[in-house]
Amino acid sequence: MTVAPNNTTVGEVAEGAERPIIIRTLNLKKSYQMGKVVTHALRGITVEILRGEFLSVMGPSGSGKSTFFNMVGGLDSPTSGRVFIDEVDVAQLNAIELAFLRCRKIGYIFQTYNLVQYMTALENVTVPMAFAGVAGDDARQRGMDLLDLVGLKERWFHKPIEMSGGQQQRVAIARSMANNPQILLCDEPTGNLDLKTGAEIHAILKRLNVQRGVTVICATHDHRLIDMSDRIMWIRDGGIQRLARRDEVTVQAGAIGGEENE
Amino acid sequence: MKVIEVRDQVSLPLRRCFQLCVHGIQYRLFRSSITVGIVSLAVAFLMMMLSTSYIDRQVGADVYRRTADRRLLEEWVEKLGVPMTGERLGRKVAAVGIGSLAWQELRRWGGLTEQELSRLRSVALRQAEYQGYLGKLDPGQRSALVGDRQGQDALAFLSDRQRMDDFFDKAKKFRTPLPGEGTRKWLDRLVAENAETAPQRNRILAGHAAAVQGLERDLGKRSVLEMLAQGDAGTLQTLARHGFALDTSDLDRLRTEAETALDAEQILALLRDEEMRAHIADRLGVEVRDVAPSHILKIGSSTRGARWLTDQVETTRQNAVAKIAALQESLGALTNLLKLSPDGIPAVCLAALADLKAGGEPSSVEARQLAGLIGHGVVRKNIGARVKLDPVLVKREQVYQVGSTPRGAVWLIEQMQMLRDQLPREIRDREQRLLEPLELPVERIVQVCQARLEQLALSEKLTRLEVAPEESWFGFSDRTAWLIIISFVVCVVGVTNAMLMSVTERFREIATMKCLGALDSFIMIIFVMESSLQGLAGGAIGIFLGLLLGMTRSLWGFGTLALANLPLLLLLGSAGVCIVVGVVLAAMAAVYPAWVAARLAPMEAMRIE
Repeated sequence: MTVAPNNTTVGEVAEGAERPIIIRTLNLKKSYQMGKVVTHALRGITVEILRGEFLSVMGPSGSGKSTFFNMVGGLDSPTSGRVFIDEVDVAQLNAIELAFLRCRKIGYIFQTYNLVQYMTALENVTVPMAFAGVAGDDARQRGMDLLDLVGLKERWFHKPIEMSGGQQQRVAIARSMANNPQILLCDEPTGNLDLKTGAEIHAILKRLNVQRGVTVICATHDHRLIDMSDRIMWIRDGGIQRLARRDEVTVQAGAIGGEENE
Repeated sequence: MKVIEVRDQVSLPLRRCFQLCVHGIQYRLFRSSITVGIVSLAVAFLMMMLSTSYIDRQVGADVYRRTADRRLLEEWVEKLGVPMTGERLGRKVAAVGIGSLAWQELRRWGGLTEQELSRLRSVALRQAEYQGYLGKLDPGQRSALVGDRQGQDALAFLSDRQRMDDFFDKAKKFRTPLPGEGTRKWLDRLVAENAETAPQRNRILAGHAAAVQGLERDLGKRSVLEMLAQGDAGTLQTLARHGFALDTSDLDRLRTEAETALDAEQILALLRDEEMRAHIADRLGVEVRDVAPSHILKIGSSTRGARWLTDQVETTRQNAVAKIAALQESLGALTNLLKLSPDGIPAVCLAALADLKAGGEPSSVEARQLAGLIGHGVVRKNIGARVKLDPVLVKREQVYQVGSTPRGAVWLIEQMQMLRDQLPREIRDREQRLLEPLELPVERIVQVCQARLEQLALSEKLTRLEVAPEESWFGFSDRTAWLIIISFVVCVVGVTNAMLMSVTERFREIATMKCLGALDSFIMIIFVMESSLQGLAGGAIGIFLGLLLGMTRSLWGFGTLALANLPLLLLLGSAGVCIVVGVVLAAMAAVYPAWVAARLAPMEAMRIE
């Protein structure tokens, strides 16, 4: 497989030589037909994401951030271009293989937590295990371990409605880790949370990234996350505006605020 | 080194799907109740229709069985007492079993050989088919084909070639299939054979008529019913002598039934007496003109009532006897008075008036007899008219006043002569109308009244059955079947709607599940399963409701007869059918919403309102 010439300016990848690539996109384009108007959500994104990397994706609303996420997470198919997850072309997978991929290889964290309302914390965590064919005491044990990991072991029997937003998001993180995925896709995980709780969530994500070597891709508006990231990607108008290592960003921190237009 | 290997996702075992599904239903009880409600209504309707139809059918069969003896009696009374008509013979020949007793009777009366009677039967069967065809036509069509001819005439008139041509030309345009093989040849043959066998039929009719006559002669004053009520070996012999074949077991049934009929006749005869009618109306609180056989039977079916009846008959009878005696006495008095000369009457009257004035009673016998005249309505009225008084106010003084003048005396004599001519007729009338004493023991009255009352109720109930059981699907009429089908359609649409709403409400949950690795099949299964479970619950509730409604309806219509005839196995079967119908309807209704849910894109989970 030949890699198309990289048109977008990509910064030098730190330790790129040692770390293998886990997600690679090739000139990813997505457009929506809305009546007679064609909206271009993505205008050709080519990027390589490394294993074990903590990547923050930033950009204003409507920049194509979410579309990019859907493509990378195997939730939507691109109009043109390709997504390779560990050198597997996502477009080649059928529905059942896609379900397998979503179930075991990628964990999803949503801004709105999306816990199943009628299940307890533990039941929520074990749902993906059930889909993976793990059930019974085995699943319960692993579920409790994961809840312990996010610090909610004592509240395993609580329903989402009985928990705060931060606690719900922690349960959601435990759930996303249910089948030991390689990749965590977080879509503004702290968007609905206050600063302090947000920081706790960030800490948990970083810990998973460091301790378990999970690749974390995190869409966010929160600048504090930049501190934890290995690399930061800015998306604007469906294209990569900038891709920088963390150390490059700190220097230009003053300029970032001006760019964001929040 | 490859960390991510993609294989096929495992599908969840049904047991896990079921657990997840039940878990969800518990959370959405309200939404579930809509589906449950809709399904239960449809199932209740079906169950009600099924249960009433089965109970009705059972009741019908039971009533038919219970009235079998009565029908047998009616059949025999007619057979023994009334010469058969041609139509009746036709039906009888078509229905008779070859070699049966009735078959032998027919042969004997007609002097026919086996072959001849067989041929007659075959003609009768085809004739019945032809009549059945005419019956299926609507009145306009029928009239176009055969005019207003009925029975034999409707067939015999086709012997004319021209008419037959006409018949076929018209009949071909109707949608009703022609009888028999539907060919002209078939009908030609039937017409011909029908004409050929006519003399044999007439021989049977004549034979039967002669037998009826002979029997009547033998019986003398007795009625057929009385003979059957006697029902001994002699009866059988008498019958056999005239060619009637009756076997002993049938005779036993006939005897019991005839005895009941005779006794019932005796009880019902009481209604012919005005005074009895008045007593009965009084007892039951109804108008005299409304008193019906069922009233007297109702009274008679309890021991107390039966005793009351017997007593009433006795007092009524005694009253009537006393009245007759009184009439006879006044006839004697009249004769005595008429012996007086025209001058004698004023004398008697004046003397009586004087007696009255003195504050005493009239002393002469004649005076008292004259006063008796106002006991007769006509005379009282005439006197009232003469003295210009209301007849109610007429007293003996008025009689004496009228009689005290010579002209008045002559007028009184005319009145007495008229009365003398009338009285014997009235006495005769009353003697004739005198009630027969009710000689039945109380227990028998109760027994007969109960039996007759039940028969009355049964025959009334038979008319209340809606549909002939054999001709329909599950015993439903076309209209009911349509209603049921429509209720199913409404149910499916309703459940589909409820499930679609449920899908809309749960889109985020469904999309999240898909992000977590749920297969499309899993989503489909839990939705269909959820709906099926709700269908199951709805079915159970519906069966209960439907059974309740159906039983209430049957009880209302047939009373305890419905309870005695609960077709338990059939009802159980119906319940099974209803459960299956409920589940299948709900599952079918959920297929489309489930498909919509399964196709929901997983990225919907990311959407934020």
